[in-house]
Amino acid sequence: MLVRVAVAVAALGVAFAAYRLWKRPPGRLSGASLLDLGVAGPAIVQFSTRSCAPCRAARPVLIEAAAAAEVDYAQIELDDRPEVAGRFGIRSVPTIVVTGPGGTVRGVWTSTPTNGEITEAARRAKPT
Amino acid sequence: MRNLVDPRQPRTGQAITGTVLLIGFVLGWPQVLPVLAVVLAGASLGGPATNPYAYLLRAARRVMGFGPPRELEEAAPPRFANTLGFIFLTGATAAYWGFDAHAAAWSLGLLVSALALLAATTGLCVGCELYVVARRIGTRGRTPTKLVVPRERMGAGA
Repeated sequence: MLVRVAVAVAALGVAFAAYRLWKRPPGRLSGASLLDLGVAGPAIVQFSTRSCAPCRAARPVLIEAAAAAEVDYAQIELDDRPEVAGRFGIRSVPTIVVTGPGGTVRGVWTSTPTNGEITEAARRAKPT
Repeated sequence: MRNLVDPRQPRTGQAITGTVLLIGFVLGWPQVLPVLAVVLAGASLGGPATNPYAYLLRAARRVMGFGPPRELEEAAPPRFANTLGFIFLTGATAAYWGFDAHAAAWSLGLLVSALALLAATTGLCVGCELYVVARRIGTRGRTPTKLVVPRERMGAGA
C-alpha cells in the first residue's frame, strides 16, 4: 500500500514537474528587442491567443498596471503572428513581458503577475 | 457551427477520471481500468448523448444552481482527449487481464490519471493540445487554435 502511494505521488510529481518545465519563461525572450513588433519603449506586452481565457482575464489587470506605471500596453495575438511564437520559443499563453527603452525585454512571466509586481517592474524599466 | 461544450464539463470529467484511477491504483482495484474505459468510450465515441460526465454536470447545475459558463469551447479537442484516454485504458485492461502485465497496465492507468488531474487542476489538457496541433498541421495553420465563444456571443447551446 505504501509503495503504491509513493508510486502515485511520484507519477503526479513527474506530471506537475513537466508542467512547470512547460511553463518556464522562454529564454529567447530575455533581453530580446521587440522593436520590429512595434514596441519601441517602456511597455507591458501580452502575447495571447483568441482562445486563451486567462489572457482575457489578465488584460484589464495589465492595462491598469500600465496606466499606474505610465507605460504603454500592447497585446500581440499569436493567432495572427504564429512566427513570433516560434522566434521567441513561446510555448504557453499568456506570456507577459515588460520592455524598457528600445523595446528591450526586461522581465518575462508565463502567468499573470500581481498588479503590484508588474507595475513595479514596469516602473523600473523606465529610463531615469 | 462547430459543436460547443461548457468547459466545466471536461474539467469535471478529468477530475473524476484522474481521482478514481488514482484511488483504484492505491487500493489495488484493477476494475477501475475497464469501468473508466467504458465511461470514456461513451464520452468519446457517442458524443454528449452517451457522455456520463455531461449528465453529471447537468444534474450538478440543477441541484447546486450554478449559472451558465462565461464561455463555451469547442467540443472536439476534449472529445479527442477522451478517445486517447479510452484507448490507453483499453490497452491497460488488455494488459492486466489478457497478458497478466500488471505493471504495464497500471503504468498506462497512472499516465491517464496524472494527465487528467493535470488538466483538471491547471487547464493544460495534453490530449486537447495534441488535437489542436494535429489540426494546425492538417490545415497548414489556417485553424491555429481551438474555438472559444464568449458568453455575449453564445447563440448555440452546449
